[in-house]
Amino acid sequence: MIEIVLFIVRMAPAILFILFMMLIFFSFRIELKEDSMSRFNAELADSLSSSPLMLHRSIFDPQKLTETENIDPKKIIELYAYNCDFGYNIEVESIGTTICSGGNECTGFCNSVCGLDGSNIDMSTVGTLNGNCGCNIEVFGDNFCQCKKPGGDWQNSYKWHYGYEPTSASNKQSRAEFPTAVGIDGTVIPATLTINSYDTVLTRLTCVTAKAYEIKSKQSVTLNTGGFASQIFERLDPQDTHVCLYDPTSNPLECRYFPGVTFEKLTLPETSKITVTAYPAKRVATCDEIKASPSIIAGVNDNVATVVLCST
Amino acid sequence: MDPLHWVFIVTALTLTFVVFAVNPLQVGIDEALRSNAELQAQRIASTINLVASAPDGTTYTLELPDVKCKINITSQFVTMHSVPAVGIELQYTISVIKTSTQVIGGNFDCKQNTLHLRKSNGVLTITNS
Repeated sequence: MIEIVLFIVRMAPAILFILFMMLIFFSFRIELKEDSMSRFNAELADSLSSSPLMLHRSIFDPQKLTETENIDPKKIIELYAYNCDFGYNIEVESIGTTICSGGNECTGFCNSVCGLDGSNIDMSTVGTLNGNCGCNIEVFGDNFCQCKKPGGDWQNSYKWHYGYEPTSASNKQSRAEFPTAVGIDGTVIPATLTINSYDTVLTRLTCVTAKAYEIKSKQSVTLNTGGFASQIFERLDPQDTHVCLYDPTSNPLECRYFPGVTFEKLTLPETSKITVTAYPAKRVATCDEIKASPSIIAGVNDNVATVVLCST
Repeated sequence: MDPLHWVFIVTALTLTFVVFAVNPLQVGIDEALRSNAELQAQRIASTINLVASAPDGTTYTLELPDVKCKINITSQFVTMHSVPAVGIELQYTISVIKTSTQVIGGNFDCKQNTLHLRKSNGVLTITNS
């Protein structure tokens, strides 16, 4: 008996070694990290660098940036480069300030940066209290031009910001900065392009709807809807350019630029996780009608009248 | 038998096993990557995004995975239907970045091996020949 025990004790290191080797072998697994949002940011920067926003490749046109920013009063616009999977906002900001000795040296700056011209420029006060354009006098260091866009804050560098701004938590989000330039009065000044991209409940809803509408086949997406109970995904925008998540009193909570797709509204249930299926339909229908009569679903050769969203 | 002998035998057996297992494992990984609809759709969408923003005259030839699959490319989406050697058919749709460049796609089969992308006069044309 004692010999058997001693044999087991002597064998223990060997058994442990075998177990260790087995653990190493069976714990082998492949993990594929796609990092799709970082890739999207880089590709979006590349797409924007050759878009109509540019004077030349990678040199932004201030006038086009101001025009784009002013298309929507809330600046929720994804123009010239649109990707339905991810919503994004961009910020273009010049590096450095414009040195001045008096307010009248800043009119060009105020025009380029804040879109102020003879009709709306107000240089009544040089400072930060009144007016919307002036030369900020510094006690130490150089004086610099600054201006204020309608409804905005004072800014002393060329800065534009527009795009999708989620108000709810994102499933994923990413931020990236790229070197760029802005063409001002015949000169090129260095700037930074910052892209923030988001994967949210609203981007997923818009994208599954767009996919069903264009590909003409049913599409599904899983959503974590904790905190979204009773919110309504619909288009109430009279311009037909934006969609929003509304509260039950039709107050918009979060909106996204999403033109050209017709769909039926969806009220999000109280469950924390749902699957939304988007059906391209030949006519307006309810989810029950779609399930009872699949012939309502548009095929590849049919015209899609609307997209019906059903949650389970 | 002495425990050291056991360790020696087990190590020898394990190493032999590992040596013979690495190759099938590598083949399995390659097959999994090739037939991964999501990965392949992303690869195609990325190429479209890059060529769409490239100067006129840019061309690119994209090699398709050597698996049974079908690809549908529209102006906004790339859909990949992949049938792996083992398992069920997988489908994944990804959006491309919509810009002022018009994308002319179509339906393609992976048996055709390559996709040719050509940007000319602001239009990106995708063909398989």
